[in-house]
Amino acid sequence: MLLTNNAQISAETFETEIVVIHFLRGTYFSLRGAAMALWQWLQAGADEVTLAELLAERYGLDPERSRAEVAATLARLGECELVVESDQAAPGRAGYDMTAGPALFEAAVVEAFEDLQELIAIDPVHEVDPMQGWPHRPAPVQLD
Amino acid sequence: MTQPQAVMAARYDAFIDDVLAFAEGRAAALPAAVPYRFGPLRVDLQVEGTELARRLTMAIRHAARPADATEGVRVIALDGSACGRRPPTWDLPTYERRHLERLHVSPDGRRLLHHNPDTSNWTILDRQRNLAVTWTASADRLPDWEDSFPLRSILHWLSTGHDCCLAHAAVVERGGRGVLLTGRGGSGKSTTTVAALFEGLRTCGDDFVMVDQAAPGPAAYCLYDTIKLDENALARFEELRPQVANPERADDQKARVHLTDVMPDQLVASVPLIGVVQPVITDDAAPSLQPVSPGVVLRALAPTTLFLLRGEETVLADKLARLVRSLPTWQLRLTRDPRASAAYLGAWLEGQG
Repeated sequence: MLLTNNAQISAETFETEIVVIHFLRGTYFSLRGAAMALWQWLQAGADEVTLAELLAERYGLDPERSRAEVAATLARLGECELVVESDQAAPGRAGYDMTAGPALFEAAVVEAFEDLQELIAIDPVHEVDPMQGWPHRPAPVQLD
Repeated sequence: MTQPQAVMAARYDAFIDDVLAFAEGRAAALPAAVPYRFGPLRVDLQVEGTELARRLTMAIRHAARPADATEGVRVIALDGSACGRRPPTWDLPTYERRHLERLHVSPDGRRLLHHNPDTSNWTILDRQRNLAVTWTASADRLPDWEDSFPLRSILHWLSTGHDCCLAHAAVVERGGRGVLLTGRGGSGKSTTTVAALFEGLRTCGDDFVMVDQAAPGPAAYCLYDTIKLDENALARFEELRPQVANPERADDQKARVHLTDVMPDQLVASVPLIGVVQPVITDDAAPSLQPVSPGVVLRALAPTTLFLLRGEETVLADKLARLVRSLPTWQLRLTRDPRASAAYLGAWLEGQG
């Protein structure tokens, strides 16, 4: 199942958006519409099937439409590395906030902002090639 | 942690122990530590090497204080060329994602280490021992930003252990009321701050400040007296040009001005905050302040802060979010005349009493 990538992100929920910062990629995101509810249920441990059920129930959606909305949103969150695969089991239905997200259905929006990526990519404070210096990035190092 | 990881983690601990012991050995022969006060933090700084001392203390002269009864964190700064031993190259195991960034945080969060291969610089903090070390190959090789924001990683790591944290933001104040100006480079933050100073407002920092949510209310503390301006901004404030501290800078470097030299009376140690403001450059005829959602302001404040600091990101993000939630948030619509925008902001602050 997919879990929110808590080791590499921070997320803050506001009234009309959830601000997510991926501090290793140097990107940040505004999650709006149904993406807000899906994100909060994901954080509570819902798997894809459960998300579709919850979304259908929350907004009275047709099950097929709900599944499509969930699939597209999860794919987008995966592209953005905001969710990661895990073999952890889903916790079940109890405890999901059925007031999450806007009161009326709005299509999920995952807006990415990449305008600060250069701070991660070439900020000399962070990482530069030891031989070539700033702004050249070092060759990737392999994990032992 | 697996058994092999525990063995590799022990290598980090042994390395940190070696560096701390070496630094303490060198410090025994150095002049006494100089205490600096940054809000709730006291740092007792000992530096080996006159050039390193000059470069590390230029931007924090205003914060030097007589020793008091509070417990300070001892910071030892070593210059490899002055102490006769170059800092070692990175030869530590990489078993976590953050090690690829030359960053290590011990599992209990007590010890942090970062290595910058470009300057051969090591920065280490041991919270339990209240001891930090920064060890660079040579003060001559330090990049220009170290003159502007010295000891930034150490202050960041220390602050996250308190109620406070660093913020990539400016502060302007009038009448005992201040606002945090947020935004990435080029957002008009520095120009607005300098224009505000020329309009008689005060500041406690232009680029990095410390923010604190402890009682009696949110406040900002001064870390650095530095203002950095690109050529376009400097051309608006020609009075500052003779005071630029790096006149022989490279074309892509900003001019650096130290307020301690230029406007010492307008640099204050702390400012009570009444709001967070995101400047936006517009073609409007007149400046205005408009309420904006805290999420918009957090997007202007948190990413740029997090991406410029290393380690403790989740703690830092949480603190910045709490700050933004605790204060009113506005957008300042700037006109093409920074002095007019600054005067408007000053009048607005004065009217908030």
